[in-house]
Amino acid sequence: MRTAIYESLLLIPLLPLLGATLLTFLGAKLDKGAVTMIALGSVFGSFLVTVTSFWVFTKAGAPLEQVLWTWMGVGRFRFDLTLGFDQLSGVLMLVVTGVGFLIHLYSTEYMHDDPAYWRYFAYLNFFIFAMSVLVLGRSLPVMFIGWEGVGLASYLLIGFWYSDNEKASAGKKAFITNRVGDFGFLIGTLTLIGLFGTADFHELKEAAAAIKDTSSVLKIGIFAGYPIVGVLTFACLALFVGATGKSAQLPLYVWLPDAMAGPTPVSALIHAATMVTSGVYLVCRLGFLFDLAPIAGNVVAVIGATTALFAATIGLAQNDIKKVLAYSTVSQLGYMFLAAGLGAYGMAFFHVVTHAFFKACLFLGSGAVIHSLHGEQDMRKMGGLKKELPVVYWTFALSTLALAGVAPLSGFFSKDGILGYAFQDRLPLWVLGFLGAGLTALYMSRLVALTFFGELRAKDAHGHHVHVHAPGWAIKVPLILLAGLAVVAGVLNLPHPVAHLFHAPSSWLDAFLEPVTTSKALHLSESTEWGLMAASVAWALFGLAIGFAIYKNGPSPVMARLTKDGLGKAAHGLVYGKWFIDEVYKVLVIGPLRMIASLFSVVIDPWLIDGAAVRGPGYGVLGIGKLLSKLQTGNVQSYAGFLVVAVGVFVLWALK
Amino acid sequence: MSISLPALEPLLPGLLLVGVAILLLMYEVFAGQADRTYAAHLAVVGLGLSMFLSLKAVGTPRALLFGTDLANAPLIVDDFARVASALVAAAGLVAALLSPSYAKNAGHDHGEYYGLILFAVVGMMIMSMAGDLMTFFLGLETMSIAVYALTGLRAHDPRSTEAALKYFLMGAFATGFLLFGIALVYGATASVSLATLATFKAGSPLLTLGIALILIGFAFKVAAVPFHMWAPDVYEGAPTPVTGFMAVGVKAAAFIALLRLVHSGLGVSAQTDSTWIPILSALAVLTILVGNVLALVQQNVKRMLAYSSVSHAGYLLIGVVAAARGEASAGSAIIFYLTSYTFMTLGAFGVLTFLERKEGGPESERYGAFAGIGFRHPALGMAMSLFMVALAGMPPTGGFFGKLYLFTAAIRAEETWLALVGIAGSLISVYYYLRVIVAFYMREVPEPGPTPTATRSAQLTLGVALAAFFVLQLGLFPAPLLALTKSAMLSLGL
Repeated sequence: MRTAIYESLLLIPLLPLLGATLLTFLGAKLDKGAVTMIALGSVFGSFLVTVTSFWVFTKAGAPLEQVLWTWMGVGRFRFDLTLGFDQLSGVLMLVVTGVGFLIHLYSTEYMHDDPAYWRYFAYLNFFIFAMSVLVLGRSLPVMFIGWEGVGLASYLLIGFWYSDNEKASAGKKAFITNRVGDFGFLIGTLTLIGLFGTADFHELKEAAAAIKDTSSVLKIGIFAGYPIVGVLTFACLALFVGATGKSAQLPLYVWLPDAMAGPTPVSALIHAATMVTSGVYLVCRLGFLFDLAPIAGNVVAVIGATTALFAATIGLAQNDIKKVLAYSTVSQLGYMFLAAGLGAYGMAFFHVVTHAFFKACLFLGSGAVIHSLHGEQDMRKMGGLKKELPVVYWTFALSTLALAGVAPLSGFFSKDGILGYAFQDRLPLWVLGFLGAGLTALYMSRLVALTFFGELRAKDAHGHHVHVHAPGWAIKVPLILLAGLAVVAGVLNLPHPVAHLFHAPSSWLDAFLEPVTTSKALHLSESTEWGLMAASVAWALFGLAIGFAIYKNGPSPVMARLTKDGLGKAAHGLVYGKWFIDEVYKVLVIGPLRMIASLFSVVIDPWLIDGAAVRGPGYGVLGIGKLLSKLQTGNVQSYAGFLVVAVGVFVLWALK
Repeated sequence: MSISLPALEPLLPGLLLVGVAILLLMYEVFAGQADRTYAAHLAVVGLGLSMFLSLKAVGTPRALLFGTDLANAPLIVDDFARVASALVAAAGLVAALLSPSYAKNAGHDHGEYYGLILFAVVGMMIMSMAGDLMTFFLGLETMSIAVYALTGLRAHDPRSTEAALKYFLMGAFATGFLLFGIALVYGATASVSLATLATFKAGSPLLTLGIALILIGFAFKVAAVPFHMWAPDVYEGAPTPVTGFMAVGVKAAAFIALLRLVHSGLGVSAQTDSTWIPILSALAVLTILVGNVLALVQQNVKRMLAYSSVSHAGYLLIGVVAAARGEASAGSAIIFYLTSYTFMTLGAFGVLTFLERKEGGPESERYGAFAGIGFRHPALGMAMSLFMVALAGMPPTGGFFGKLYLFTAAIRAEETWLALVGIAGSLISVYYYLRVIVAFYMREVPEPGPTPTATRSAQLTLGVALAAFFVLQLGLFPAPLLALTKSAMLSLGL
């Protein structure tokens, strides 16, 4: 594959790393202004380099690359630290550094009074570094460095207020859940190295293209005796396990709602816009492998669609504003995987981009609400903020419409495109996705109604109305920019009929990404597409209307009556309790683990491992050591004597 | 034999050091009570320059000195010798950086100290260039005598004097065997040239006996079990920077010379498989196991490092076995290992030098004496952790790649079992290396008791920082050094 060398790529991850390093070592001593300068400057610099790289890339007409160094060469496997900048990584890098910068800016106001201001920005810069390594890494091992790095950053930021035990354990939950996924990632990587002898994306792509018959049985190598398609399916599924961890899909999604314990801008950046989409990025990046392993693709699509609907139902009943958005994120990630699993990589990635805009805006908006109410997160205690926070309200409303899928906002095009593919290829999955879309509109209108409409219900400890703290420009500017992007980003990938109508390029993003990842074509007739779009919009408006009607005056007495007893109570309980998945895990996974753990800690570890396996040989070795050291008398005559004996044995052996 | 000056050019890195050393010795006569830090600086500059000259010449053709072909040239300056010379010069350089503050504390601040280091380095260089056994012996003695003297420099400390005397007596013993071996080889082959030795197809018992005695001499110098008994006492008693220098420089020079000997066929190639490989393997296994097991029971960190250095000789012997089997990558693995080992060991001794108390004594070197250092001196704690992790062979340090390449070479030479023994040894070693980190970070500081205070010295800081830098550099960018070692081995005809 033709590539162009571009030696400045390194600057994209390097600048934030530099920022993180400076802040880590000097942050505590610097004043706030300097911290802000370093933190924002490094990310903005990284954004500028990304833009320049994009321009250079467009001019060169070939993917950019920079080989930093060969880390190791073992046998025929060479592991280069290579950065690559192509259509896919380029677009994502623009999002990461662009949205990342806006969220850094927002954080300067949001975190202004935090005593650990510098530590926050050190972590945030470190996150941007790790994320850009993840995105720019041209091979799975390099990507894995970033993959682990963002996991670390996420852990540190979820538990940022670590003195609160609950928040610290939310961080641990995220970290541990992700370990399961990371293990899958590693297994997948090693399988691919075993199969192809490389983990470089370009070489993998060439190797995959060279496979003539995937059902043929391998003759040599560690997978000898297995059909290629079997090994590929295994590798893809293992990598997908990694993706479900990082991107919070069934069954590993449980950490993401808890991750809301972190500062809200972090939720916007890491747990909505960028890091959680890296699983989707991975699948899109390796689309050519998933294409060869249809079973793996099917699994991805089914898991995605199920998660989309499942998480949406939970979102309906949550009262914490951030929890609703968290489940919404899980659900939207499900849509992305549905698309990727169907082979519509362009559409999946399109949804990554639009979702980054509107969901970041929603999270930042919720942050502004929480900030203005002095930390209140329960929507039942909000209301009436429309007048108090007009900028927040309007940007939030626009992003909500985008998320709900109201035309012509960006979310409409991306979600509708995904549903179009599902309609064409897997009707049952379309049904799941379509139901989920309605629920999305419902829970979002409930959220908006409870938060912004009706009376201001927020009260302080004395029962007085609280003073609503108005946000400053550093909060408003990112909101406005993101809402603007959420509105217009749809033009990136217009569906054929709409493009036809406006004489605009259709499916531009699909075509743009073509050299990296080839999307399946959509063959629906124009009339079918129009029909689907109309149905989507009507369905979304219907959901919005219902939610608004029920909740426009605050927590609804209708709903309270409905869920008081009988079926309604059961349904509400089930959804409110998040389908009790956490409890199921407790019983099925954590319970047995605990039992095994206590078995180990009481019996096996102290007696068998510590006693027989560790202390035994340990004391044995120590004993031998003590004995041997007796020989070491310190007496030079005895040393000489020993030497003579040793020489004698040596010489006799040599001459034997 | 006429010597023209230009013909000496390949020897410039060594001659330069001789010049500096003589200058230092001469000036010492007039220097009076002055601070000797200038001597350290001069030595460092000389060693740096010498290293640079050696490395600069890498890639140029082989130079034969005082002879016309391999069979009669006593000194062979090829890439192998150049890389080795640079390595021992680097060891001397870091050791010289570690010395000034220690020398002042210990009251042996003499200019000769640095002169002796330089002479030792020159001896090591000669060992790496030796084309025949006599030249090799001259180099060995130049090095050894300088190191004996260095060991005893802390004249008022009985531990130091005792160490010097022991080292000298045992060394004399071993040298006797070595010289006797050379004599026997000459008797059997009528030549001491390594190249001539390589042409012998069948050997007499006399030759075998000669080679055996020569190998014993090597085994003594690298402190291979069972010829290691001197090492712990000497390492413990010698001034700390000297211990570091001895542990790396002497070992490196001996292994380098041994590699040359092995590539000359160890006397008779037919005998290598049946005789020398089992013996060398036994030496390696014994050295790894005994070294590690004894390091485990030590309570004194300096002594632990001494035994750990014994065990590293064992890992290197695995490489020698692989090289004797004809595995091409073994030689470069050995040089790589020696390089990373040089930096991590000198670094560790550098940190110990930092923490040495004026009154000294073995009490200040016990694990317990380092409680809480990691928090009181964060940079020092991080550096020591890095060196310990590197010595244990974990990434991302040079120690990891050293072991990786060495064990890979062993597996390629179909000596998998030796690699497994090496891995088992490394496993044991993790315990005592991490124990240092545990002492640094996880032990309660004994409240009233005396705690070591770090000496502040720019040279010492630079020395430890350089070591840390290279340990990391070799772990992150191993390729340049690997290329260098490959060209070194290529010049040996591999």
